[in-house]
Amino acid sequence: MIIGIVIGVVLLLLILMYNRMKRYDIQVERAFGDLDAFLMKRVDQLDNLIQTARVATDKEMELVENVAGLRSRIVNATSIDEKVAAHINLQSELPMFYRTMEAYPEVKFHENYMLIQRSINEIEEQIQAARRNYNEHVRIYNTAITTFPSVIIAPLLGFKKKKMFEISPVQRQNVDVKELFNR
Amino acid sequence: MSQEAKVDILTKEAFNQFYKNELTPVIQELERDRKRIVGKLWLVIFSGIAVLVLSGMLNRLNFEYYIYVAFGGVFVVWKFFQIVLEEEDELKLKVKTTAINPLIKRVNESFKYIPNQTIHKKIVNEAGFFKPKLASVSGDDYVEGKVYTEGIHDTSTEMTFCEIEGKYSFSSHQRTVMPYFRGLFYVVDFNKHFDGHVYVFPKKKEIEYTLLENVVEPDKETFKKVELESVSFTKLFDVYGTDPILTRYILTPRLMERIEQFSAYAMTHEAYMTEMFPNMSIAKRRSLRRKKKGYGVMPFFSFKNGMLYILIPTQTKHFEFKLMKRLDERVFENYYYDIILALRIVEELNLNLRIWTKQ
Repeated sequence: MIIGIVIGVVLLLLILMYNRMKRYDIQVERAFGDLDAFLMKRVDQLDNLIQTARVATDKEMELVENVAGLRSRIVNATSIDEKVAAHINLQSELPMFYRTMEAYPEVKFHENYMLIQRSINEIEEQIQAARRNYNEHVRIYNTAITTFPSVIIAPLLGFKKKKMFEISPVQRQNVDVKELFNR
Repeated sequence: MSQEAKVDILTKEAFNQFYKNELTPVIQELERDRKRIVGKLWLVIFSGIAVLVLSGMLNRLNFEYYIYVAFGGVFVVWKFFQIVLEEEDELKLKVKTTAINPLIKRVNESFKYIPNQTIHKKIVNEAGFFKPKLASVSGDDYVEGKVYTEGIHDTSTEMTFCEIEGKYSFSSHQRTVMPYFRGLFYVVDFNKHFDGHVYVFPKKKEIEYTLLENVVEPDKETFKKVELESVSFTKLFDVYGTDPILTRYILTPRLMERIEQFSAYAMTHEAYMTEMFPNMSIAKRRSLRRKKKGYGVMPFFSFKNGMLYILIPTQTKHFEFKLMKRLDERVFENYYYDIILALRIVEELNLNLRIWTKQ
């Protein structure tokens, strides 16, 4: 009888812990969905930017092609980690990409380019917000699975620590608003 | 107006210089007028007392018409008293037009000052600070205009502000209105476009003495509390938003820092204090505020559909002329402080940096 009650209580605790971790897991996925929507919006705008550059100048721009390649990696990524890695790769290329594009006056002063650039600037801010939101959910999730008693059963139930979407200080500096403003 | 000139305007030196060169002759004349009216007021008071004493004496001497003397005397004194009150109102308006208006223009030439106007109740309610909504809004000293920043791209931020007193009724059927709060209210064009609503409210312990702690709870179905990364910011403020990403879009780490700085400044409503202790921490200001009545309160922020509303419920009258109080530098320094707060909103929150799609 007592053993039955003990097993029942343990099972109940397990269910509660599982539900709690699962709820946080779903929230992380949802937060990533929101972040991904903004990241893809930026990718679409980069497409437009590349098209504009191609129309504005006949010259071949190797870096532009590189960015187009990075874009396809994002589209083909299947897991969250792959997508995050692909986006971070793209992000690291962007400052150089903008500088290369703006080395061509016919591109830099193209009306379409300026409009898209402005739109990207706004999307960058939205990405920062969504990234902070995603990281906050990852933090809550990671805390939940690494604290006692969840830490014991989390690996058994398939809950693994998730990576935050961090940008290295150099990249952060490169997308600094002031720098964009001074360009 | 250059950036350097604007920085100067925010200092005590700028005020002192303006007061000495421009305001002193005006204030001296206003002070003469004030003293003249105070003299008349005392005369009316002594006349009233004299009438009462005379009536009493006539009564004791069994003068049968003493009651007529009493009523007649009181009537004449009352008429004189009304004249004095009218002169006081005229002087109030004169103070506003000849001293406060130039002070406002000195701070920002584009500011337009309307002494007897207030921000419409609909706009104050639009900010959504209070439950229930305000039944009436009164106030005066309305200022509207643009704050310019010269730079690579000349930008400006539109704003209006005034002193308001909000009142509410217990129900839609009741006509009795109760005072809610009194303070400064700012409406500022925010530098980013957004659709949604975010509140930044001081923590309850910060607002308990403003009597507002029970009326600023956002609707739990629409608003969710958002925990932000900044530890110092979350110690001071509670943040509620209709969407967590929008909340973070508006409240960038930089803006959170700036809101903290601005709030530290706004908490001190004694101009000289800010000048003497510009780097004083919020904790220190809070302890000073407890010791001495008159220190300011933390501002409330409401970001709604591209606009920023700021309420500073000081529970005191601003730009208030008091007949029995000497008009001097100190009085106008406090007025000056209230006006430059508007510039600080734009400059300290960096609202003139608008490289986004919002023009």
